[in-house]
Amino acid sequence: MVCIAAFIILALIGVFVAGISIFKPKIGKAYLKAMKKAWGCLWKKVRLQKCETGFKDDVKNTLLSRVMLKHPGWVKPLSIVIEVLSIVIVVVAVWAILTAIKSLLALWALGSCNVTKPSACSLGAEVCSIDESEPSNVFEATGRWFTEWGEIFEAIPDKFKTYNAEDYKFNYIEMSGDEVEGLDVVVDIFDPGCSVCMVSYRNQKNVGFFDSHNVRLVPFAIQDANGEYKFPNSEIVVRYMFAVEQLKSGASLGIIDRIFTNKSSNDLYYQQEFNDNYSREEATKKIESWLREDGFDDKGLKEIRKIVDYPEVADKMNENKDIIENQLKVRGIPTMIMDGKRHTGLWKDSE
Amino acid sequence: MKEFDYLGEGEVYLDGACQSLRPRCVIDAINNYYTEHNSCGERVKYKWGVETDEKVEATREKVLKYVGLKGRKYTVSFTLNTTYGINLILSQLKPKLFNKVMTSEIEHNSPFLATMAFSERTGLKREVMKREEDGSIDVDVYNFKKAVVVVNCASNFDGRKLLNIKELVKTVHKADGIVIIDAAQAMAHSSEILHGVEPDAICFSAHKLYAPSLGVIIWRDDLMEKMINGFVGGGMVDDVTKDSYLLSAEGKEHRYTRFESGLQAWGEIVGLGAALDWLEHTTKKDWQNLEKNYTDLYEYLHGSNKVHMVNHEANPTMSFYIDGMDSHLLGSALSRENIMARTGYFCAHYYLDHVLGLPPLMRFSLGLHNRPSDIAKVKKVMEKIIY
Repeated sequence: MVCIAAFIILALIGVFVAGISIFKPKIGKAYLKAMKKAWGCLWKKVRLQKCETGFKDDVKNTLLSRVMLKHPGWVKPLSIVIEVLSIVIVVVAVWAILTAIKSLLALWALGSCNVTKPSACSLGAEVCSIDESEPSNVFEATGRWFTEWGEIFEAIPDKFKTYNAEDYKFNYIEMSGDEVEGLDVVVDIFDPGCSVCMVSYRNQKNVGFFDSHNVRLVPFAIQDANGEYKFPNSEIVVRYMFAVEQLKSGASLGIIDRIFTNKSSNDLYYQQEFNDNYSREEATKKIESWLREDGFDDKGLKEIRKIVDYPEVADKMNENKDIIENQLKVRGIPTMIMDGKRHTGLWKDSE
Repeated sequence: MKEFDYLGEGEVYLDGACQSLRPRCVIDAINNYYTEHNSCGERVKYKWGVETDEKVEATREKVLKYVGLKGRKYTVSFTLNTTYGINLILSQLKPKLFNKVMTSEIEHNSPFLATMAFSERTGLKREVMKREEDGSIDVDVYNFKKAVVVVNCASNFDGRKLLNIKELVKTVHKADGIVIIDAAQAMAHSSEILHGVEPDAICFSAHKLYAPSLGVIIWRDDLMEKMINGFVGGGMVDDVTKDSYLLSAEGKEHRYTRFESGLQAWGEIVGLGAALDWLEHTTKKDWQNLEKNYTDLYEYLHGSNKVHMVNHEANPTMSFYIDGMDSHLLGSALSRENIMARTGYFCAHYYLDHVLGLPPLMRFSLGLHNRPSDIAKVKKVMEKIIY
């Protein structure tokens, strides 16, 4: 919202002057002249030069000269009010310009104009964002505004970096069982509860992406700053996927494929059921029913349940979280590493 | 005065120090040039041109007469304004003939900046002299040996005069220096200060002398020996070969061409002649009226403990500021009441801002056009604002 507001303020000034210039060229010219004068005075002051009379003084004099003749006593307090207002206007204008620049830089460097909450930026790619905590007061918000600059500048070198999927030691699930020689290795980080990941998966499946690449699926359950999962059942899904994989390689793919492509008896995609309707127990039950369909018997399921609770599974999840959030500094899911680049956001058919 | 009957009821013009109002006869003279004898002066034989030439030559004579100088020693050339005149001279002076350039602290930027540029260009030292409260310069304090001295004989913010101008000119000449006088502010109301003084050049602006926009240089003929030909062109030569030229200014008859490159503002020159005629015919009563007006206004302002005057005495030009009041705002408020006056530092930034450390000022500069009712109105409006 903040970046949009900044854009709006700047755009409004521009549109206002441009609009007036078209319909009332004389008045437009006068505004343009005033803006030039204001800028000229500001530029002088920035260079610590004197500006004897500037735009502000002209406006002030126009307003106060009337008052001076009728109520001379009001001039001083009104002058203070105008001074304060002019400071506010300058602060807002500077803030607007800086925020607009920051948002554009963030959009370029991080893929979203909103650093804290990437999914809130309508100008960025469609993502399920890994959000930071919202500032609770003005001081925190101000501090965050400044630290975001640091995060943006830190991300700039990454824009020019060449990414190699094999450089990152993810705990992953090989999409095609064994890697096929000669095909490019792709890392695909997704959250089972993320709708953008679901659409990406379907798009990839439709165009045979999984057959033309060695895709390493990295299931990841997005957490917020307080450790709460963004999609409540994603954690149990990811645990089951790693547990199943430990028993039988490739067997976990059926879980994610069903969540992303199949519908329940309620005519809802399973992802929606998992996100909105299933409790943890119901989600577990559904996953186990699919595993049973895929050939696991009671003994196998018992074994899987045991592994799900192993600390090793939690370790795998934490290792992935560290790579995603700290090494790659990923702010939105799905994220793929392919062709030497990092791609965050919806994977479209055309890609 | 009926010559200013175009001034509307309640309109008070107090910016004569920048642009004086023009009497009807001056406006008529310019119109007359454009409608009766519009021509290319000083180079044609047709009758309109001859008429223009006669009026232009007459104006040169009137200028000399106005300042009490003789044509056998001095020449009058026309240019754009005072700044242009001073720069025209300084830019063509032979630097090897001089040791330094000197000006004073109360100068308008016209000489102040021009002397700076002259010093930068020639490498000659520049010295800024102190002016006493009465406007004089203590000549014993300074060494004028081969100095180029450029000073005003009346200031543009308080009208203070260079009271010892004769002594200064004599001292500088004795020391083989030259004196260029900026008379922009003196010409309208205190030109008598120039009488009996023989500086090397006097520069002034006709537009502060009830005349049209025009610059004038009155210069001693021997100044030409001290100059290189740095600004030459049309209307300045008797003969031109492939690689040489003969300046018309070599002969006394066309000496004025030395500073008159290209075509001149003939209409404005004719207008200046009319302004000088008009001034010659002003009466003692007119001048008494001016004196009464500015004394009255000065005393009114001086009497207020909220008003800080820059002036040390009454003068048609007076500057001041009011405690806690922005002069630009005051100027805008007065303008709403049809009182036209200047605010700021009046191109005397160095002295007013940096030496005296004053805030931007308000300047009232009166002229022969002002009526007692103008002063009454200003006092009435100021009364409302100040008290």
